Amino acid sequence: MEQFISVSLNLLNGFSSSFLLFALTLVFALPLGLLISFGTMSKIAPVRVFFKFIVWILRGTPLILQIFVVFYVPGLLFGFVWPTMNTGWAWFDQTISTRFLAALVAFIINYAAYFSEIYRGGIESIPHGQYEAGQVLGMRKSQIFFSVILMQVIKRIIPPMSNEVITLVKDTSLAQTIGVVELMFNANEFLLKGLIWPIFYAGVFYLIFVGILTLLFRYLEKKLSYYKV
Amino acid sequence: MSFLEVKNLHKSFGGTQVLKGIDFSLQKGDVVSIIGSSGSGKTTLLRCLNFLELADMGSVYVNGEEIFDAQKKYADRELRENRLHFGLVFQGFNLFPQYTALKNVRLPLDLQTRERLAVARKTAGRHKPSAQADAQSNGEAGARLSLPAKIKAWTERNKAFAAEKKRAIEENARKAERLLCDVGLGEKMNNYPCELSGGQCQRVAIARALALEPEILCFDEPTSALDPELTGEVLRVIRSLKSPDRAMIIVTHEMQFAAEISDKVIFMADGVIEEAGTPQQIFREPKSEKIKAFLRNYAENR
Repeated sequence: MEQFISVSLNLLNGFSSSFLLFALTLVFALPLGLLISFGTMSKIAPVRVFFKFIVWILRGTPLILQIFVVFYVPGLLFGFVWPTMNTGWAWFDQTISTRFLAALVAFIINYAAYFSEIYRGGIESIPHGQYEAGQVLGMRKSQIFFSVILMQVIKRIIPPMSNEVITLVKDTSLAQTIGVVELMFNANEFLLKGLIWPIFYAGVFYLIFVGILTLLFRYLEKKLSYYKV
Repeated sequence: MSFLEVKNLHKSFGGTQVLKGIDFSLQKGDVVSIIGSSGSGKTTLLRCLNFLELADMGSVYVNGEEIFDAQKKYADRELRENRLHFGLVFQGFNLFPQYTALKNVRLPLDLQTRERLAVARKTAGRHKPSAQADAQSNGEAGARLSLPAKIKAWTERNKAFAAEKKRAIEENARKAERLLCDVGLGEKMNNYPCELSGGQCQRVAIARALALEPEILCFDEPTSALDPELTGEVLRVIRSLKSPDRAMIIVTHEMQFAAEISDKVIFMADGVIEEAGTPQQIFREPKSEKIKAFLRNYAENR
């Protein structure tokens, strides 16, 4: 029983790190993805080609490779050192380690690339008549996008987004490859000590979290089902 | 002088010339129907008037003022302003599905209100309140006092803008409600487009097009996407819109309707106006063989 409690606390601590990585990735990757999608839909050919190239790279190479690159390459090439946190809040400073930051940046750009394609699909699926209706009603491009298009895009992209978000939950475990202390990292520590069951216990953490997210997405979908397109 | 004058409008898509020089004019209060077979350029003409397409050649005058000349480059803002002379009702309604009927009609008004107030606020911010100028002329001691004065002026200005915004937004709601009642949808204001029939949707779209009070209201085959039993209600609404303050241009396949509502009928064929005249002239005594063939065809297919 004592062992169970100590394992629980340990995994919970790992999970808090995983969760933070997950949440911060979403906070930054969701808007960044929208910006990248504008880039890939730009009317200016060089801009479009540039962003498509970036998306190709980010989707075309393993996330784990990108994590390595973000963590090691700036230091090797430019002597860049990832900053450490000094807020004095021990948990925060320890969790947001240099390794964590590098992993976070890698996750953000990788997921922004995937999100951008989802946004693009959503935006391009909106009938042209919606833009034209906005135009003849004297709206500006930004007004058309934010008042007319965006809500319809959000409704359409919820199913593919929920897929990506759920994948992200489990991908956070890749951060351990550069030594970020997170859920799977801690479970693995037990495994190395010869204790097998904590890795299944870690699986339960993921399952419960994904379960909550699934319910959340279902709720969102329901909330937006008041109209049909 | 005519209220609307269209001169020598040309438009091509790729290698295909769709409009090959369109000239026509109309007076305020006129209802002009444009008829002709598909592909004759009717819809493109309307889209050029609303700047959804920019004509390659030609010009458009409203009330003597040039609002478009293909030779010139226009900024987005200019096109946006000049476009407001026109309203357009689409064949496929193009209502915003995520908003209720009321919100569909209100949205353009609310956006304009917001923009107008944002501009007013910016200019108000630039002309510094006189309190600060006084403080500055009073020397250093006065200048130190100016910060609370500035804050006070700022909060008061904000309050005034908030009150004005509330008033304007409420006025917009009243106007939208009135427009929806006018098209007979007073009961359906809070329904979403997906809950309305095609005829009701088109009536909402008409109310929405009227919200910004365009001087020239264009209809692009307003009943072509409707079931036959629903066309009546839409045509009734269009008929009721005939007013001395407004001109209407209606692209339609409803010959009966065109004959009865129009002051002038334009028959288009292959990108040119083949013949224009009163309904009597076009439907009873057409000169062009093409119209005769078109009308014969139409009569047979009914």
